[in-house]
Amino acid sequence: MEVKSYIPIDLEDCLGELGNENYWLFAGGTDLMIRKRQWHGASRKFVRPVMFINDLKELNGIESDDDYIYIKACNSLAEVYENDEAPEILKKAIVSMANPEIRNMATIGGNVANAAKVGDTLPVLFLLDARVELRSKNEKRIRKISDFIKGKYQTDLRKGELLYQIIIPKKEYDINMFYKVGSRQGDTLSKLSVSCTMNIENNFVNDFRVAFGAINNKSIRDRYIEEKLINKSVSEAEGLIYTVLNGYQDLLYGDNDKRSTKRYREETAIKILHKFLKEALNEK
Amino acid sequence: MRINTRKIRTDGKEKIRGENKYLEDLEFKNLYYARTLRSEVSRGIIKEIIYPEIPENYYIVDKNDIYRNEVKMVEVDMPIFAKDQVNYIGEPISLIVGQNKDVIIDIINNTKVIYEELPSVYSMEEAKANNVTIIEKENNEFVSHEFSTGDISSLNNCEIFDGVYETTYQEQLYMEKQGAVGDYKDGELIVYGSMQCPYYVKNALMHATGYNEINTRVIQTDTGGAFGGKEEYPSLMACQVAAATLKIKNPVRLIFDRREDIMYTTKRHPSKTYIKSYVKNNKIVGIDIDISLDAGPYIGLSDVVLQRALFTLNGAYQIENANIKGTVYATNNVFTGAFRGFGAPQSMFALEQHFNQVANKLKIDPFEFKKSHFVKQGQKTVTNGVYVEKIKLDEIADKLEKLSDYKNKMKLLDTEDYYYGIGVSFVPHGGGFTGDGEAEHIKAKVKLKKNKNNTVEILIANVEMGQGAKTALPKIVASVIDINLEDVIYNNPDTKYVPDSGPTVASRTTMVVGRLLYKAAEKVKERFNEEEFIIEENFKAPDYLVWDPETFQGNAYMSYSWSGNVAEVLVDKITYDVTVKNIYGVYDVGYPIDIKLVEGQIHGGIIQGMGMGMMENMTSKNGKIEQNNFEAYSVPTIKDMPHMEFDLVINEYDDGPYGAKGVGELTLVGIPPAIASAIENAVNKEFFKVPVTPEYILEVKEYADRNQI
Repeated sequence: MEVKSYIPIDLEDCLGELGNENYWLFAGGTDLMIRKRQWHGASRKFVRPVMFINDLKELNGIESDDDYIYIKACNSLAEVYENDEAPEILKKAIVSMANPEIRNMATIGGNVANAAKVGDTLPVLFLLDARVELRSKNEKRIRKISDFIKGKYQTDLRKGELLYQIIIPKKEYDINMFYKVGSRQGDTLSKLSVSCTMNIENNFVNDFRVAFGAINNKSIRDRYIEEKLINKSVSEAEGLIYTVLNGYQDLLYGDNDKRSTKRYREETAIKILHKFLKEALNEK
Repeated sequence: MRINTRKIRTDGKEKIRGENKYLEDLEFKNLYYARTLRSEVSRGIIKEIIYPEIPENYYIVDKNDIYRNEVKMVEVDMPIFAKDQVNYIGEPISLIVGQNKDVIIDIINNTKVIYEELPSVYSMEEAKANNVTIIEKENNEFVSHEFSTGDISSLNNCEIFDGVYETTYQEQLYMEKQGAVGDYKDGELIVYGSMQCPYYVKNALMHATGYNEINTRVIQTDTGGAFGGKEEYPSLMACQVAAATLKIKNPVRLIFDRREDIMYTTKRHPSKTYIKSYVKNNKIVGIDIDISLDAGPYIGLSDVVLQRALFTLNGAYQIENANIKGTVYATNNVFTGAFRGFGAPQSMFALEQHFNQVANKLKIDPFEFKKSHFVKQGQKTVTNGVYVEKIKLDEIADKLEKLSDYKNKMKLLDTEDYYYGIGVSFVPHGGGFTGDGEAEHIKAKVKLKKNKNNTVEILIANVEMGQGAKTALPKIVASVIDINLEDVIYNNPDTKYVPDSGPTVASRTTMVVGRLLYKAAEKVKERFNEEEFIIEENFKAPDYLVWDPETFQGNAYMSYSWSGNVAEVLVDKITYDVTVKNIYGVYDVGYPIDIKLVEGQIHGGIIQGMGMGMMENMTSKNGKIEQNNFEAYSVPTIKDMPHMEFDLVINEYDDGPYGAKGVGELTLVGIPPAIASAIENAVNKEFFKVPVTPEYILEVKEYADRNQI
């Protein structure tokens, strides 16, 4: 079957054309090419027109100012990984993903906009309070990532709109951990992941963040639970570990599927967080 | 050359450079592509098939296009194309054939098959319950065998231990997917394909088409891995492309997609084994074993797989009293078949795991416990055959203990983050076909052709499939005649030119076929000054081989290879992820024809065994394989490879070339139980299933009472 494909010359052309048709946006293609395949040697099954955006200058490159890092949507995972200003915890997530060949092609924008349950950049971006900037022909809007991602393969992206960049507030995290549990040592999708950061100053917790990935359909982040430890002394915080763990326990809804079990996902996630908290709070 | 001269693989360079041609790389003039229309239900009567309008030069090939709609394996119960009923999800109904793949896909997408669904059986438990009968045999049992040695009923005052052990599907996951090309030229039917057994394919083709010896021809193409997956399955595909090419009189190519290949081709049989052992004075003196295998809806090779599972059930041990029973059940799951080890990985996992658990319950070190049961030359197998050759298990155990530093390792403690565990296994593997199979069924014949230019050509039906046959067999011939390896020619078999030396299976190629070539080469050497001649050599069973196929009494195998393995694991205390740190192995494979090839088999066997032991969790839900790609079906990658060390015990076998015995399958069989035992040792719980996944460890460690699993 023939479908229309479009290669825009610049962002303006891209946004102008986006309003005309219901396009699939093709960036790195590492997921789309697999999902649309039918038979080796036959055409991919694209039932909607396709727009190739990977080479758009405006969608590549990483910039920063005093407060934010701006990662354009079509940066490959490898490019983000190699950037000096990209947050450490994001790099940890990226290097756990797929294999070098895929990381060279797959884009961070694709991982976000695809909104797969197992997308490993998502929980980290939740944790980092990232925002996404969405552009259409006549509009530009900025949404919190946690509002943009609505569920498994569901986002707030509107017709005619494109994920332009990911905006990450600059912040130092003293302790940061991305813990991925997969089915082998490399080239594996998450059964679950736990992302944690903590900042401790003068024996007081002044920031604490947690995000769980690949368990619920949408990454989990809960500022209310995090705040239980914030501005607490380390020893007070230690006494609140179980309160925190219980809080998260109530939020986790894992599935039994071909990759793992509900029980394994939920319990292992809590254990990983528990270990992180014990170590983080005892170290200081 | 001399046999112990180290040689680089003869096929290595072109494969590493990507220069050799696999089936998909071959060009055929006016080639047609075929894709399979498959059943979407696990059991049902086909009421109607509504095809869209078929464009010119596109064809439907189905049950009406074949002379005899039966795939000849051991039995003929499986149709080439579904008749009126389908019996598993993915069962082929027809081929859609044409030259544009998009059009073919379109035809398939617009075809509607109307079924009257019938109740299905999805597990061996359901098959046994027999509420639904899916085959014309009682209790959904394809076949059942029972035999015994000694007299278990005479045992008294014994301590009794029992357990039920399970294994699941395993996929061969050869790199090159299954494929076949059918061609029809000048009255000759030719099938090209990626395969292990050209004559199995030829026989199946003659049966299906009515073509004869002369006008049926099978050519093996470079085969990118097989592991048993290309033993019987290619016969089905060959018959399908034959039907297509005979219909349209042009070449037709059928190559599966990876997902099709994973979901619908043969896999290792899921098994369930009940073991009850009788212990007296810290020794197992009697054993009661009942094995069940899930064959899917057609028997295929399952009876033979069951027999191999049963006949070596005393493992590496002397057990005087044994009752052995085994049953192959029919289900509406995917059709299962040959896979490296062929029944032994299932039964040896059960036996070894049971020995490990009994040792732990008796508070005896499993290594010592197993050693104290080692079988010796002159003693009997469970089929009352006598071990005629030297058995060097003690030497294997000594070397293994030193190589692995077992005694000191036993004392290693858990770390803050990991449970440490060590496990050991000892297993035999019989080389060649079971019982009188080589003499009565295979009747291998080889030829050597001496050419004018002083080269010698090997004419056999055995294939190179990555295991190294194209290096090992020419080495034997070259060293016997004392010519250069380069002067021995061994091309991919073409049944027009090569005799039937039997299938490339059962760890028989070097041992059985290599021996025939050795004998032929001796005759070539004597007449080497003659210009041109052919030597033919036929298999003769050794005198000591006594076997009654009716009662299963006698020597089930001509010779046994043996292995001892030690596995060391670290189990993460939080995630229960298992890291295999080290695998040590000591092997008696007779004499190594090429040490590097043996090492390759050892490394490959370890990795594939690791997959079966702890990672490759393949499940079927309502008759459908759930893991159908490289991601969901997790095989070990280079990052998962443990540190591996091995040693050999030389124990020359008189009827093997230079004393060589079987290698290929043995190296896998001992790994799953060694790893599972190491995990038991690490977390102090018993495990009854492989793969031992982190999810399973969590259930056992934190939830299940050990007796209720």
